[in-house]
Amino acid sequence: MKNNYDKFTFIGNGGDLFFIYVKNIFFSIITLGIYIFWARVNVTRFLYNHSRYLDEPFDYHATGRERFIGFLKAAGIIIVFYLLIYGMTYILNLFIDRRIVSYIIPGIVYAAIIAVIPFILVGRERFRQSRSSWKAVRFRFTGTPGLIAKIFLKGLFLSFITVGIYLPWFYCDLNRYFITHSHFGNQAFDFHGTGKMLAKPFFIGILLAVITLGIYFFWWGAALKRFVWDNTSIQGKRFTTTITGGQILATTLLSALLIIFTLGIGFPWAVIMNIRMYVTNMGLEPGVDFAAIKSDFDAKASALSDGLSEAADALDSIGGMLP
Amino acid sequence: MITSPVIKLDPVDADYYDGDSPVPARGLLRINPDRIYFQDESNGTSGIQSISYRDIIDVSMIAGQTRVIVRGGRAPAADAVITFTDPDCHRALLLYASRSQTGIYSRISFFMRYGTIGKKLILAPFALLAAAAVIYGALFELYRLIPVSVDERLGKLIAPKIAEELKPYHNAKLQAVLERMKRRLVPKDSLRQYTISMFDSPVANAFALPDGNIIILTGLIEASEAPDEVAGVLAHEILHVESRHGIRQLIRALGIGYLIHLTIGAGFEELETAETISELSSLLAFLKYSRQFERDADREGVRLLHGSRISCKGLLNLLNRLSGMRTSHPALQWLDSHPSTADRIAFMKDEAGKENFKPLPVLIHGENWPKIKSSGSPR
Repeated sequence: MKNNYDKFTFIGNGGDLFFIYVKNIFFSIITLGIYIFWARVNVTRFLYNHSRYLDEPFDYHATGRERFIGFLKAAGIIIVFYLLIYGMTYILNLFIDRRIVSYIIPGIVYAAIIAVIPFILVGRERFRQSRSSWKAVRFRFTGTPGLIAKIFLKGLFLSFITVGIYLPWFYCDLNRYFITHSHFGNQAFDFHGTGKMLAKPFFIGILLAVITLGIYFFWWGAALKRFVWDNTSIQGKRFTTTITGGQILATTLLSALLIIFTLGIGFPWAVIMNIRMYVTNMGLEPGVDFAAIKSDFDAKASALSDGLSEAADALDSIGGMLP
Repeated sequence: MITSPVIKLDPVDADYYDGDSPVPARGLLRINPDRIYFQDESNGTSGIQSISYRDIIDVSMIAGQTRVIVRGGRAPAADAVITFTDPDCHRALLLYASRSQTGIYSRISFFMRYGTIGKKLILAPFALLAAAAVIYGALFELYRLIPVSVDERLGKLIAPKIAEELKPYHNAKLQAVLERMKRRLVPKDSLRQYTISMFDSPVANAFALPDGNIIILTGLIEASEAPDEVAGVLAHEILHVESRHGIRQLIRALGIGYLIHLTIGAGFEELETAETISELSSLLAFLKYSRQFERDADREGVRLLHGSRISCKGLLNLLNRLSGMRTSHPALQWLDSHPSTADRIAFMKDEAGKENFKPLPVLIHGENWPKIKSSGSPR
């Protein structure tokens, strides 16, 4: 890392996280799973509290209770949706040929799922950022579902008709969207990357990945991360990351082996390994005028979107387990 | 209520982040039994913040620094953070905060977050007992609360899928013999309705659906040399239905899968390896309980046979014959859905040795098993 960057640090260790893990397992079992929302908060808070910039930790303010309530609301919405679909199927079957109905109903379900994805993506990010803070000042996400839907539609369409050549531009549009709509207090982050800058490393990386039977994807992934962070700034001060493909490969292999050979007991250490790699490679140019930053809390961010994806996953798992 | 004396503490240096600006106010923190006070050095007495213990959201000590998150910073809806490094103040803060907890939920919650390891270890055996009771109840006894009509519906759900895969087999004489066996074997007090369906398949097997539909594959009939061999299999399958093994297996599979899913990676978001391990573990647990149910069906199936004055030697002969066809390495038996054939044979031998009655024939006068077997055709 260049010497003039203030490095991020991570001071967590696997032993401390293991205690949280054991507590999470115990309460998740005796509450038949309800505690999982508190468990996730416990782990995320631990990881945030031990990630530091200028020796000051980050904080995670979400509560298990609000995430659980978000899940319940979302489960209610999904159940009502399914009942509506069920009712609609019944009524349509009375008037239209069943074979036609068997095309219409899945069409409606898929259209609804696709339509709700941008809301979930944006809602989750809003909630996550609004519950994250550094020095007690919250982060904030101001992206809208309409804009991300537009980026996706344009990106997918152009990537398709250009046989993938548009992908680096699509990737930049997505990152620009998420980064420039992220704020620390009232201060927005900036993104300076362009598709033209990314195109060469992007396609060379894919080519090398094909030649090396996929191994180069770790280096390609690292190059993308470096591209994104090196082109992100706040108040004109650039972030950076020194992450390398070798680091990602070694950490991925080690953590997978650790988890498999300990039958899951080694999760906390594997997670710590990964987080430490990502956090400690990061830095930010000094000179950010923190005194100029004021809080701008997003009071409307809710756990509903988080709950929607969790409820959908849960229903999907139950569906998958049934004969 | 804790009644330890008030701790006399001097004010300590602290930083106060008001949630509005990332630049903290430097000042002095005083921990009093009723409230905590932060005095901003730059603002003199006009800068004193008075904070109730009830407004404390979280207290943590990381790398020797205590962080207190407090409800109601300066920015709307944001929290304030106070940091200091004095360990005595940390202890006093937790002590006074614990006294301010009212209501059982907040007391338990406070204890869980800040209680000492020693006290938690004392309570751990009770909590473990409670956990074991919940898990046992959920996995092993829950089926008693589920009406038998659910078994019926489950069976009806599976039956069409079997009919899609296999071709029905028709043999009126054999069907008549099997129906007669069924009437002899089904317990007199049974509330279940049994049907026997035959399908064309070279596999020597039979299985029961939860609704009482017993599927017999022609491979089994071919492999049998006497009708009491098939009667033994029928008794085994009837026992599966009577003991509701289908719904119990489903509850255990779902329950164990869910518990393992909760256990592996509890609290960690979106870890793919966790998913893989939890799926593998669920499968192994599923197979273990499957073997247990098969053992139960063998044991109780023998009682049914004996109650109908049919010897279990028929089933023993069939197992002996099939043992040459189906083998698995001893080291891999934990991957089987059934107990090892050798174990089943040993059990049947033991039971056959204890038989002290004169068996009644399964076929009536004039019937010939090889002829009956060969008189059918696929529909």
